[in-house]
Amino acid sequence: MARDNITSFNPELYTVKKTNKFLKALIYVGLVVWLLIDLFPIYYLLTFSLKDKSEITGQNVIGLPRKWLWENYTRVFNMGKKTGNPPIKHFFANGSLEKCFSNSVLVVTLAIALALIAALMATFAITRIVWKGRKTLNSIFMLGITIPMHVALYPIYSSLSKIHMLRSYTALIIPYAAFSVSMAILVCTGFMNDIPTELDESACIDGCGLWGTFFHIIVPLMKPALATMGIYIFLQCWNEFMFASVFSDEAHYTLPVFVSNLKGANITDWGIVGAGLVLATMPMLLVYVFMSRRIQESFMVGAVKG
Amino acid sequence: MRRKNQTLTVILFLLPALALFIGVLIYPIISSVHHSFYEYRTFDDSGAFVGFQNYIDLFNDHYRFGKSVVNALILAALSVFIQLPLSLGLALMLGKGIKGERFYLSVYFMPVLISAVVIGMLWEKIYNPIYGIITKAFEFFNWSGLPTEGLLANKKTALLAVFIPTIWQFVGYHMLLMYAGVKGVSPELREAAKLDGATDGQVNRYVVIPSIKPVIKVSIIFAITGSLKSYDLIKVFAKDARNLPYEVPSLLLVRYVFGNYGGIASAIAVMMIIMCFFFAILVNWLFKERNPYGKR
Repeated sequence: MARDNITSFNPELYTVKKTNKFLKALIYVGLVVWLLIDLFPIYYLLTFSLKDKSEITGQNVIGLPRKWLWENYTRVFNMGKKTGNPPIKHFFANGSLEKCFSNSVLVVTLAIALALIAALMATFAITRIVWKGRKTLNSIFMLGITIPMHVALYPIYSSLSKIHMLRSYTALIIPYAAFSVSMAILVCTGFMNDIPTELDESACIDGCGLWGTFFHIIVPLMKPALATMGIYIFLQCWNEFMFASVFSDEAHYTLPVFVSNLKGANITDWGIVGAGLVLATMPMLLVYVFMSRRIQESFMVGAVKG
Repeated sequence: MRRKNQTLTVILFLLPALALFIGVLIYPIISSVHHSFYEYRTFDDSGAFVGFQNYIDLFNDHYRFGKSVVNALILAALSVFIQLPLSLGLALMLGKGIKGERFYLSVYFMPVLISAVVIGMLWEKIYNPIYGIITKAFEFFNWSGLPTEGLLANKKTALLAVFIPTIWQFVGYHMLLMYAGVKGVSPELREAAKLDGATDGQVNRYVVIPSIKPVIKVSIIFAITGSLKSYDLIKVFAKDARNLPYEVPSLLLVRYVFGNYGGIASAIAVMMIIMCFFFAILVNWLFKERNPYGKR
């Protein structure tokens, strides 16, 4: 209920107020200082991605670039692509930015789909069907929120290597989905409890079975929950690094692995590293600019319900 | 809604989630516990049964686990006692309702969305002992006292240097959670307190903070477990180097998985689960409502 207006604010409600002028100024100063602290590294990153080596390492550390070196960005796009004479131009070469980006999109999308389907079905069985032991099962699922993903690394690695599935998309999708299911069930339970059971009952009277109730009543009404959870899982998996770096080879690298590989060969070439960091970060920040409210809400729901 | 085949339906509905949960969470935990009692030099060869020897060895200097736990706990303490108060302060300031509140909120939250790998590499550049921005700032102001090997390499400053990017990234996250809590405090409560003559500080102290206790609890749990399992940022700083002043358990875990110490790695995994649960339960217990007049 409070979910809709969790970020809205009505200034008229706060009428009795005689805040100290000095204190108010102090608050603004504090807020602006933290704002600058937040933005400065981003500014720094953007500027040094456009500088050449001599500017970065000495002559012009903080200022705007004297010569705007867009070449750094073209060099990032050429990374991982075979060069020859004549240079073979192909997109989606293993280890290139486009390939890693699309790998990330693929893995994360499928993980979200899998986690949401599993969580929605399980939540339906736990909250809407009456059977013995459903409370216990729910609390077992909730334990999953506290379990750190890292502990599964070794067992999953060894079992995947036994069935030769190590270097594949599945090796990332399944763990990502599994470690999102607990949180998804938690949030879905909150949303599903808001749907009146009378709807189920009337569907039942009209001759709907459990499956019919699920698909025709619950799923359409759960769309907002799915959107919220989808965003949350997306953000958790998009930046995941440990599994992505351990379980995949060059053909399956995701974006964080691409970023970490930037350093290997270019230890002092900070221009290209900077450009790579910018390119890896910008899609996310652009999405955030347009969807900031939704993204923030999905995080709040995730934590407040927990 | 009772039907004859209801049991079957329930099982079918639970199947996907249970399969994921058992296959990727339950099985690894059991398998870790099992592996931690063996040597496991390679993935296929279990080696000799060693009982609790792996756990005893963990606290040997050779495996550096004790040190890494201490580091993780220091990071956790820094998070709880520096990062969270800062977040709370920002949340209270924003939650009071000021001009441009949404803008501040959005900018503060933005670093959460940036990959820790990106942040690690950015900060590595900032900390660079030769041309990093901190070195340059010290040169500019003619300050001294900066360790010449860089903040990350110096034993005394390393943990702090790891903590600063973390705080930069996650203050916004905790701030958002607390902000949601602050906004959830009913305006009538604030008004009532104000009418009774409470100052802003008193309203925050006696009305707002007590009502957002549940959110603070969640934040503390997230901050502690987050520190215990921190990996990405530290891995970026560390690369493949060893004997670092900022090693944490998960870094050692990955190292031993691929260093033919499967048993030790499993023991670390088990210890991490235990620690995460321990702190989650501890914080829950500390925040339990206690009735001053004895048991309810």
